[in-house]
Amino acid sequence: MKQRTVESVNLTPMIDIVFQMIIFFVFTLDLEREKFDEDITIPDAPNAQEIKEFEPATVYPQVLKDGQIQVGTAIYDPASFQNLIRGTVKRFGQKVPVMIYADGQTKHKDIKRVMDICSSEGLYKINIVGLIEKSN
Amino acid sequence: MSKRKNTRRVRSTKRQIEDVPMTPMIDVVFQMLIYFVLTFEIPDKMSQMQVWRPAGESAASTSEPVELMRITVYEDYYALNDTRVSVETLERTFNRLADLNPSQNMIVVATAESRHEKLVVVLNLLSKAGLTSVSLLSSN
Repeated sequence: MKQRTVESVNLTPMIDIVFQMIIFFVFTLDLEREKFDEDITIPDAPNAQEIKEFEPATVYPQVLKDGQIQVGTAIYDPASFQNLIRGTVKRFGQKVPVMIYADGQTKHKDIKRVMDICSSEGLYKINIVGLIEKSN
Repeated sequence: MSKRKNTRRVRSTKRQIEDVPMTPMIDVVFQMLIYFVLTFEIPDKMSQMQVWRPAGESAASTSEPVELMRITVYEDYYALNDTRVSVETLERTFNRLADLNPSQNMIVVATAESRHEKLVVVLNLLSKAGLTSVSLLSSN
């Protein structure tokens, strides 16, 4: 009597799908996206102009609830922040946009301080960021 | 007899050349897929509100002409040309102004102790009405 061999499952289509998914993720990966503090709750502004593309050489100061200034993951005191802005202006000019991320509970005097520093170094494209839609 | 032996050796050599193990490659591909799935993030939709700051201005000037609309953001309320108003009144006023002159310059004065979210509410209403020429002043 012949022994029938167990039919093996063809895995080739699964491998194809896995490669398709990898290609999708590679193309949608954005390593340059700026990281923002998760503790900041940005106020809603659904009617303002949507940010479609982030311009290169943009400054993203984050103003926390307690008034601290954060750029990226580093906290700056006002003097260091002014040095940072000065260096940015020296390198990229005064047309560099400033996108201020501030928590809803932040007092205006702390945001004013950031805007004053930027204005004193000649930056004039000052924007306040709002939230249109949260992803999750 | 010797001929048969030689044939067998040639066949086994050919099979060894053809069999390339793909299992490690599949393992690496799955590792990569897991990494991408875990790090994938859908970004939030953000908006921007550009504000103009008059040069050398850090406090509200009192010598502005009365015709200019000045919205003041206090800690607990809003004021339109020094008259206390609600958010609904602000919205209606902005819509009327936009119908008359969309390029009118609006002056927003934020007090030092006011919260940022109250300022954003005003800027959002201005954007909604189509009034994009906004000057932001700060007052103590």
